[in-house]
Amino acid sequence: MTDDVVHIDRVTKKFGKITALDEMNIKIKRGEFVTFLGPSGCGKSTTLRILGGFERPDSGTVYLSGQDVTRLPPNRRKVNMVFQDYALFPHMTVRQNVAFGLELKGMGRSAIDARITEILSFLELMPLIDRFPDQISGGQRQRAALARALAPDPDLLLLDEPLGALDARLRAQVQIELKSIQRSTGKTFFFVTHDQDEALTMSDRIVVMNGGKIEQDGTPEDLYLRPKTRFVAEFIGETNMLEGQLGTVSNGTGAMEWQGQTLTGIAQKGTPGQPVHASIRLERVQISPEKPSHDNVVSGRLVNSLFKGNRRMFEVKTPGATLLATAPENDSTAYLPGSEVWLGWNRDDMIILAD
Amino acid sequence: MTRHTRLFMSMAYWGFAIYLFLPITIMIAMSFKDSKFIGFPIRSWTTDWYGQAIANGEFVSATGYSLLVAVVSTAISMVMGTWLAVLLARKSFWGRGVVFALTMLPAVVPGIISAISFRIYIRLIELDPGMVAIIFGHAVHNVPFVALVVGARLGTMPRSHTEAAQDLGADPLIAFLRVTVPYLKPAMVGGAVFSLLLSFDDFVRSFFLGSYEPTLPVLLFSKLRSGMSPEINAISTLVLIVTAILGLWAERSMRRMNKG
Amino acid sequence: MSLSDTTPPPGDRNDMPFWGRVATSPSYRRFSDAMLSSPGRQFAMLAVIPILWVLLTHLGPLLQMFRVSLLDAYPPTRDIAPQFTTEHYGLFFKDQLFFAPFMRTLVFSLSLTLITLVVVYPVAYFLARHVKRNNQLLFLMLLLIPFWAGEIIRSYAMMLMLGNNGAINLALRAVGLIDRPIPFMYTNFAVSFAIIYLTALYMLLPLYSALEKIPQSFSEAAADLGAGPLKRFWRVTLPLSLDGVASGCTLVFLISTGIYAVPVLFGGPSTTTFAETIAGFFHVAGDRWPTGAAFSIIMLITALTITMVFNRLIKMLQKEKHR
Repeated sequence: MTDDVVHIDRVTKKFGKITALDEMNIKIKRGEFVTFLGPSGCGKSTTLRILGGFERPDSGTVYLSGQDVTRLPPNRRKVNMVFQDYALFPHMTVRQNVAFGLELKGMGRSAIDARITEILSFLELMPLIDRFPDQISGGQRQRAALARALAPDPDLLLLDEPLGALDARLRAQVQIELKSIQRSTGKTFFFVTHDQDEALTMSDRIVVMNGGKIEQDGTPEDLYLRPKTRFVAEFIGETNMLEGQLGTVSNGTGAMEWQGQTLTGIAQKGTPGQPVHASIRLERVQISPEKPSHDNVVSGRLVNSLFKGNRRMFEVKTPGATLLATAPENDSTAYLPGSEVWLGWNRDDMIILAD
Repeated sequence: MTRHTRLFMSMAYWGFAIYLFLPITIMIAMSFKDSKFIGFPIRSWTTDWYGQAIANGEFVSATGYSLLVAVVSTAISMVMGTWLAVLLARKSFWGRGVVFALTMLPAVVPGIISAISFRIYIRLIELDPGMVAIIFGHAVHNVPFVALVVGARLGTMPRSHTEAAQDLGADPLIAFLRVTVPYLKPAMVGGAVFSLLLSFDDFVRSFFLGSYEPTLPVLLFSKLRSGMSPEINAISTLVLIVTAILGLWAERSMRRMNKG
Repeated sequence: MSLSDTTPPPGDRNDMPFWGRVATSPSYRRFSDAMLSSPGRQFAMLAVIPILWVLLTHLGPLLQMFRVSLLDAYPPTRDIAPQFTTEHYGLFFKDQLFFAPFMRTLVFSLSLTLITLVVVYPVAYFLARHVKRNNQLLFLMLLLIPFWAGEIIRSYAMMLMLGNNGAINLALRAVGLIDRPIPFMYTNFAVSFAIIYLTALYMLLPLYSALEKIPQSFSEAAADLGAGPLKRFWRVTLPLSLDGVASGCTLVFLISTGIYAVPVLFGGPSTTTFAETIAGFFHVAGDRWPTGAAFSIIMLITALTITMVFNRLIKMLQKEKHR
């Protein structure tokens, strides 16, 4: 048996004329918390539904724990799912909801009771065991759905934007909870979301999808610091995007011609002269009253200075574009809108991306 | 809205209510009149007609017969109506429009034509007029109503419920029985009562499909053709009360469900 | 904490809950694997029986009726195969005896539908717009009580109203308007009065639910823009309730054309309806069934055509108003 819980091999899925998945390939290791991230219609939900058995691929093969399950119906897969609306059965109590999957596995009554107690104590739901879904709160419902999906001990747990219905405060708390549940159970989590914050907080690994294809697959740090495509750079975090022509590239460093200036940054490959984009994270752009000593410097006029709580965001109009920079709140109150300022960033903070 | 139109509207409502209720009120009053002659004035009152109606074997056996027909035909309509509703809940399949139209067909065929077509059809399938034929006619006639009521409820059920059941190890049949049916229960109860009443009240199909043993509406019809009798008042009043209570209950439970 | 791996203990089947025993029983699993494991088979299991049901029992009787209407004799007599013929349809156009009841039924049903609409619309309007939301259900339920008593019992109640010693004559005599009873029974008036009594609620329910859906604010917005009550009704309320008008009229029309008991109980020779004409062919022994079948087909097609044209007109009207 391989160590890959999931192996999706060249899977294509079309809905009418729309290609939801285009020759998708991916492997997921046991115990990973993988998040599929992307805008709606990017194919992340289709991937999830194919793993759950609710959609059949048009071509390609799906393996779960080494077994070909492409044609296996959902009820025969060792995969469980937490639905976006939780899909708790309204006519059953929390206990009955959790028991549902256990009964169908053919477990005996005493084994079922033991398992229910184990899982509900773990998720701190024991006091609510005999309540109906409409008698508990949104966060509790979310945990009940998680309990129901974890109870049958699946090889893979699918989570379809399960935090979408929670309010912002609760969501932040549940994100941390989910991550620790995943760590302590050692289960493989397949998490789907369009919220990049959520993805960065929880995941061991993030797969960014766009238009039925994988844009980039890596750790949260990889994606944030070393985006491989313009889409990823723009989708994850806030960034400044500059448009220019590629200069020379050597040893992972490249130059970009921008507004008559040569900027240097990290670049992989490319032919000189081709149009490229460069991404610079807001917090890596330093604002200063005098010309700084960074690798790249531009001057401009401060248009806006916006208070963001723990930090301040500056909007600076330069000849080529309006750039954004952030700085911790304490040392940055001195700039007045209208004043001339300098912006600077280092070579390692700018990623040059081929179009 | 001016006061005059408002007044006119409320008069229309109460006038309509009187139009609906006056006849049955008179019928109820007549059932207590202590005279064989039906008509006003009523000089003295009695409950004897109820005793006579209940003692009359004809009425009792016709009622029993009607009930039996109603229960069996409803059971069939429930199964087929629900089955069709579940089929039609599939978003799209080839010929869905045709299946929907065919499902609703018995509801739009005028009564006499429906009765006649069944009369001819049972000859084709070599079924003699009688109980089985009436049950058949009623069952077919009630299917569209059950399908409509159940289908409306099914439309409000999130798809994720059945998917969750299958995800947890239920095949589609077990998922249907354990998750969909409980969800549909209020609609199925409402549809069943509705179907029972339609069958119990039905005259034209029972009349053309029956043999010598009459259902209650057929018996009342033949009694009326030969003249009124105080017993008819009594038995009609009893039926009115029982069916009205059942009907109101079903109507209420269905409206509740659609609101909630 | 780590959650234990819970592979089921090689089960004691008696210890399993009911659904566990079903799902794990080898025979059920065989059935499930064979019938329910692929989308195609699932669909077949779902679709085959109900589709057969609607074909055989919903459509079948009408098709067979159509077939019989084209035979010279049915049920077939021994040894003689029935021949194809269209004479029964020809008979309808030839004989005034049949054409008159047909036209009477159509005119009856159409005018009764119109009368019912006019009478019931204000009632539905009052219910939906002037009764408090919480009371609407109560007021509606009140009107539904007679509805559940059934055709025959309601017809009978109506006979008590219309008879020579009935409530109407009695009341008219009491106030001195007449000295001899008016013979209502066995006239067109009696038949109409009774049919409306049977069908009015089929008009009320669709009208009410259409009117109930129109937000009060629409009418208020129109009033804001200076529209008078009549204009408001004509330009706002009526167009938005056309769906209810369409389904109410369709129901009432189709039901009125098919009512058999009322004309028999209330009507005389001058009020014979087509339903009675058709029924007449089935009281006599066998051989006139094809004529009855042909006439039924004529009635059915006419009624459905009229409703379809009517619904099309309403649709066009709605589009017109939307522009």
